[in-house]
Amino acid sequence: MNKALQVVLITLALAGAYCSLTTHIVTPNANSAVEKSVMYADGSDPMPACRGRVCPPQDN
Amino acid sequence: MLHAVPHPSAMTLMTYASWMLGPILQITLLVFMIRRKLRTTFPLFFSYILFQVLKSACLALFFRFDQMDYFYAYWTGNAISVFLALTVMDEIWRQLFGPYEGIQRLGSLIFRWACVVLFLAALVIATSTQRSSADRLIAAVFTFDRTMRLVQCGLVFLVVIVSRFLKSFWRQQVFGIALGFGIFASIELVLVSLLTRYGASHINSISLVKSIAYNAVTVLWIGYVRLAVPASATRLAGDPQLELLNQAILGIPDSAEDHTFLTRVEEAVERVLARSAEQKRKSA
Repeated sequence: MNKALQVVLITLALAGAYCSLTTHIVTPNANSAVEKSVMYADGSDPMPACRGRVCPPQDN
Repeated sequence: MLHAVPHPSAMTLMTYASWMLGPILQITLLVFMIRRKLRTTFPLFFSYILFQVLKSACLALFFRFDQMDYFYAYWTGNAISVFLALTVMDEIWRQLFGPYEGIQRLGSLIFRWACVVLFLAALVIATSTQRSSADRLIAAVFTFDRTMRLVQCGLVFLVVIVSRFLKSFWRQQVFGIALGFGIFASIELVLVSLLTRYGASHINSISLVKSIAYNAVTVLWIGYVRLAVPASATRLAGDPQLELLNQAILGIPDSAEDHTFLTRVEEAVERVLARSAEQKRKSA
């Protein structure tokens, strides 16, 4: 396999691991409108912006 | 990049397009897997992809007819999906170290126990928070999800390291499957980090990027299923270091020790024969 591709893959994996750790420690602007529980999910389905009938207004 | 989408309607259209494209690509992948007879080689991966198709169909129905419960359907589907992804990772490990029974068994054992411990840790963290019982369960699955994504990132390291041992390994289907999981997990962790840092205002953009990333990974899997070298052709076999490790785990004596043992037996038989011949000579 190409060395440049190996470096890209390792960098991506390191970035993911770093983000995983920092997300756990620092979440200053976490908005209650986004439920954490739906952040990690496989598939192409769109993330629900609100939970059940409680759906606060969004900026977007 | 997140501000690049100018109009909400254009965003919605792109979201729907990417959403619909997902099951189409997944069905294509399933068809190729059946044609290439990979259903028996990767049964858990096949089940995982099949589940993604069914999940998308169910979610589309919820979205259309019962949008208020979409969250719960999405969460439930995700919880099952995480469990299936775990079994696929175990399958990847077993395929990767197929010729080495000892390494395979030890790795699977460690992986399964690690999953149990991580899930128990997630439960403890969740129960320690002051929430309702449903929220605690959701929090436990969330913590477990994040840990599993981290493990999937580790898969990238593993396959890159293994590809350094074997030049043709990167063409294998098991490499492609592992790489796909690792790439998606890494992208998702970065996106979730952005979402938690900058709030929910970009949720639609991030959801779209995630959806596109998953579709791109599915295309990667299709490519590997169609073009890659079959797993049996370039197995991770014949490496002397791995062979030694495998023998050490299994506790089987290597050929040198085996040879010594046989030689000793042979020498003992010769000594016994020589003694009996000497006794016969003396008695004669």
